[in-house]
Amino acid sequence: MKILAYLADESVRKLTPLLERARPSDFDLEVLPRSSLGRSGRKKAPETFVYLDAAGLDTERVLELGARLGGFGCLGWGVLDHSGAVEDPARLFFAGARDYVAPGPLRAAAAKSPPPAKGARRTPVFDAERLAAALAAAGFASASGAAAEPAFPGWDKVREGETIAVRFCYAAIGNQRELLERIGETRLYRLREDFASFLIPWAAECGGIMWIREAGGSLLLFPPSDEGMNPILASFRLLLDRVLVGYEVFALETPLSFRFAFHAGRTMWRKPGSTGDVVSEDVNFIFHLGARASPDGVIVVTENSEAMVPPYLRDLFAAAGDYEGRALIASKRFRD
Amino acid sequence: MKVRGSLAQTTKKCLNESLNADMLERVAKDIFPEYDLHARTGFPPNIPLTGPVAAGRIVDDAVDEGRYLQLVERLALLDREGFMGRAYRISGLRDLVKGVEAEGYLWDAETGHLMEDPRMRRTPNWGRLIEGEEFRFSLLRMDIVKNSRLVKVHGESAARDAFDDLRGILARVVERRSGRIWSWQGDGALAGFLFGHSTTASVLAGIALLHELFLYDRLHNRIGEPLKVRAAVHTGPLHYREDPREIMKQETVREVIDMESRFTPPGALVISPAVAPTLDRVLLDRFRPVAGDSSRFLAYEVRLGAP
Repeated sequence: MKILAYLADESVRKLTPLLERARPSDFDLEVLPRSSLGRSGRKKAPETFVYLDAAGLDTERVLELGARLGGFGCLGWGVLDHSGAVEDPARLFFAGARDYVAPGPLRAAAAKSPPPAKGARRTPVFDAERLAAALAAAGFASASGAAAEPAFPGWDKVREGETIAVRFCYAAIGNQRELLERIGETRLYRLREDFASFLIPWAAECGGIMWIREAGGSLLLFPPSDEGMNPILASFRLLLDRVLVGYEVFALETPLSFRFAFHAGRTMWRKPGSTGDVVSEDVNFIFHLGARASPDGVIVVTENSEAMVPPYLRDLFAAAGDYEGRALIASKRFRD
Repeated sequence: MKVRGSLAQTTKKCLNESLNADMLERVAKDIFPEYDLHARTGFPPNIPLTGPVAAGRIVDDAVDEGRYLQLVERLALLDREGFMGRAYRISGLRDLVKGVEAEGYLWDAETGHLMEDPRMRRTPNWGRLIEGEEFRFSLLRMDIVKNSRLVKVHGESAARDAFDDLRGILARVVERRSGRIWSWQGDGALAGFLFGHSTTASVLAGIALLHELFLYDRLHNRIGEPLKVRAAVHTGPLHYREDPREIMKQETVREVIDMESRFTPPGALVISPAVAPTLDRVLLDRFRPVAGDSSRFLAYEVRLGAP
């Protein structure tokens, strides 16, 4: 992860060492002159939180540049306002900003004042909680985030019977009734088996694991934060490539589609194959959602796992009603 | 393919031990059209040739004229299927194939060909085509839409980076399906496919290209606007030439370039009437007639609807 700061030319010398001291330990820092924003056009900034120095700018100009930062594909953007140039910081958040660093913390850090008295609280320059929230909203997690879960230990290190936070994914072949008519029961059975086998390395690329295999579909688990490819991106790619996958991977002479449902929740951990005694409301819910309420050819995501949707795919999702009291969003459908 | 002396000797021994002179000549005629073993060896037609003489001549000719791989493949086919209802066991065939594989080739059971090992090299002629040989190729043509405008608006450096990315994407989707990129001229590219189901492979590569670009625009595109291409697939006869300029002059290539530039909408893959009947229905059904073109060409596009 990286913090990229666009600083006013006159602020670079003053603020750079300050930001370097203040940055969370799990973030790198890159400083660029703000004047380069206009010249370089869009900069690719994945896994980066971008800050804009507001010194010498009016609010409208800050909003204009903020909108440009939003197009960088970054995790989020914020404003460093050490000169108090922004009259109404709330407007920044309405415009999509995820952080605003007020003049106070910046001046305090610049003054190199002695540590505050015991019990007194100094506001840090970069608020770890806000950064963590911004990262979580973008589908990432930061070790520095106070609200973040402890790092996922790996599937082989989770203790049997322990309750863990996971992201559930129900994945299934779509249009199974139509497939049954076209290819027959035997081939459909084999296709389901082949698809389930296909999902094992597919999930592993996203740090996930095949947990429960059923005739209609499979339940996969992913760590609470991305470890490898984002699972929604991987699902989206499968839907996009359904023609290629159906033809080249499964040698099908009939159209193939998939169905995905995502939900974040908790469950007691049992190893795959030993899940008979797992009792979990979230596990029941994801099975119901995936098997009964998810249309073929789309990805359905519950409100509490919406942060899994990467920012660069967010505009391809829209509200899709609710199910068992939980609001849903669903991806747009690729048309044949 | 460069054939080591020891491998050529093994091949001669293998031929001599497995086939008589008549059968050797028959095998040679499958590889060299109009092959006359007596004329090649200098023996008069009324003198029967011995096995070692016939085998030696055929192997030397195959090596000299770049048809050694075809000879080994023909022997493998003979060993597997026999000839005119009679079985022929080719002694030492396994060693022969191993020797070829040691030179950087892989046996492709699906096509029955020895193909370049893509982990070692990818040459435009798959390590086996001979200058001037005519085959029915399938061609994938791709052109960047408004490439000059992209350079003008975003600068040469940013545009070049994007084109380099595109080149990488095209190489992946083409080479994964055993195709070869023959030409890349700034704004456009031409790829050839020959082995296996070549038209299907080229169409799948074109579809994969559009899919990869769809994601590229969202994940990695740095120029701030979608990178659009026009792609077209056509099949027809072509003389293989090592010089890409000589390839570009040929009729089938001119036809696919014409298809791409005149009839392909931006962001689409268009296939010619020669390609469509070779596709399985499940692929063909993904294509729609190109608007306003009397349905001669069919197009595929990535299209999104409501959830």
